[in-house]
Amino acid sequence: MADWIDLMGSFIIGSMVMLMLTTFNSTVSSTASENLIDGVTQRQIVSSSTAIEDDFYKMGFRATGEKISVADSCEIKFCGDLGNDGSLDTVRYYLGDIDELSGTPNPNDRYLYRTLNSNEPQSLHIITDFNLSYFDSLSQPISFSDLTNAAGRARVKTVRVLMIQESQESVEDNYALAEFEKTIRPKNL
Amino acid sequence: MSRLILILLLSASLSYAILNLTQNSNVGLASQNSVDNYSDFEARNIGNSTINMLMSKVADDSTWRQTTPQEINFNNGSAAFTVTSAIFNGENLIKFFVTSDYFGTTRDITVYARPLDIISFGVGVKAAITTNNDVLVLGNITVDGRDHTKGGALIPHKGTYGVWTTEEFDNSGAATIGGTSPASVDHAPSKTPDPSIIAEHQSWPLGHPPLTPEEALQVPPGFSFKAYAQSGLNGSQYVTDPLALHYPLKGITYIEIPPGGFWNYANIQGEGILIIHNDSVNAIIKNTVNNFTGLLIGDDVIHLHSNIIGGVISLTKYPSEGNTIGNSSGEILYSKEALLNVFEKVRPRNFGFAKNRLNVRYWYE
Repeated sequence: MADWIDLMGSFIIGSMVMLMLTTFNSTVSSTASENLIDGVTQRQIVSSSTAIEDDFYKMGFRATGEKISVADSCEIKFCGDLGNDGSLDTVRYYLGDIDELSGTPNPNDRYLYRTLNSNEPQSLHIITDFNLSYFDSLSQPISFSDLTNAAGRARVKTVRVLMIQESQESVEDNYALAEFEKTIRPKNL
Repeated sequence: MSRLILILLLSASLSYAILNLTQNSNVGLASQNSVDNYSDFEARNIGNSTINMLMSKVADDSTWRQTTPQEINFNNGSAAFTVTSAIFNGENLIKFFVTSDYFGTTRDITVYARPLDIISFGVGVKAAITTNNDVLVLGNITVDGRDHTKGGALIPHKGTYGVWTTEEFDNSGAATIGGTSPASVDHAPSKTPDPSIIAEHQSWPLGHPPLTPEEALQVPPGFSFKAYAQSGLNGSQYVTDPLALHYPLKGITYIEIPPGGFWNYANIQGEGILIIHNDSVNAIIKNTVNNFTGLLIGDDVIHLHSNIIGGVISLTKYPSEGNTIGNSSGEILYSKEALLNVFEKVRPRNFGFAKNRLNVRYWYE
């Protein structure tokens, strides 16, 4: 009888230990995945923001005419000698359509495009939001209706960039999120 | 059973160890990411700050250049820079080039700039003494509208009137008046001056007598001598009590004496533009001592007893002690060089957020 009790006890304790180990493994694995995806998302947004900053700080460099030709909430087109090589470049940033990435698990992601001169648009990164706002020399916001004409765009001295990036894959229905917000004051405007 | 548990424990420990290492690696990458980003940010800040310091140096001395690279330590990093003259986009500019380094992260920044344009004055100084009131000179004062160097040496045929007034001129005592006529004929100071070097019953281009120093010189809109003096630029001073002045005077010295007050035995030692003015146009400067080079603009100028090389403007129409500019032995010598020397140093006050003391034409970062 005592043997049976030992056997039953061992079985119950063993099962509990196994259950704990499985749960522990699962939790550690899930956290590791979250961290991995978080890290990747953060590195991607840093990479995107570096590219944007590099271009935006050169906005208007060596340009004598209109420096910003399109200024919208999720699109901007400006010129500047990006390579400091004497030739004026035109750069356009805009947000792609959400349908272009309908096949990915994240329903909100879309491409952020960058077009240099007359080249084909290149997707800079996959993000979920890209928002631009514009300010004059007194740091007052300029309305988008004012930015439809050249005189309004000529008032722009500062551009605030908000970019949100979510992971394409979710971990337990949660998407890793990284946000970049910066007010850039190109010195050539 | 116990063997199975042991195997499970072992495998769990192994997988935990692997996951832990991966975690650490991810954290390490994230940290590296932050450090890289921060370093880039710092390198840019070091570069931009160095450029601003260099521009400030050039603003103080527009001839200063650094043609061979020089390195400075800055905010835990370093910056190597040159400052050279360059032609860029068809303009003669000053090129500032900085390579900043913050723990191995480097940034190159190039800026092209030029000195700010000088303030252009709408009118020049019309005579050695310019007034809105009758002028009486007494004693041994010498007023000479002939042109002089800033050191007081005579330059023939380049001068102007000895006295220019909206009212009348009267000479008494042993005072002597000289000047250059509109036909460029010089007349040495004389007790009976040639009429061609005295301009009476004149009108200001404004159509009315100026009530402020800005109106007298017709400065561009927005420019204020008082604000400039308050900035302290080029040694400028703004005081309401002349005893608070520091010597020698430099830049623009603006003394706002309260209505009814006066500056007696006025020590005017120095150079620049000296303004004694208040809103009631009745600030008095009286009995000057020591010499001054540049332009003196006073509401009510009484008894100039020291030497002034440049010019004098008196604004009031109602002088408090009659109309006596001088009653002793001072010398008022008109000097285009002294005036230009002063005016060319007056540049816009370009201070505040996002402003530079140079005219920045291009900034590449």
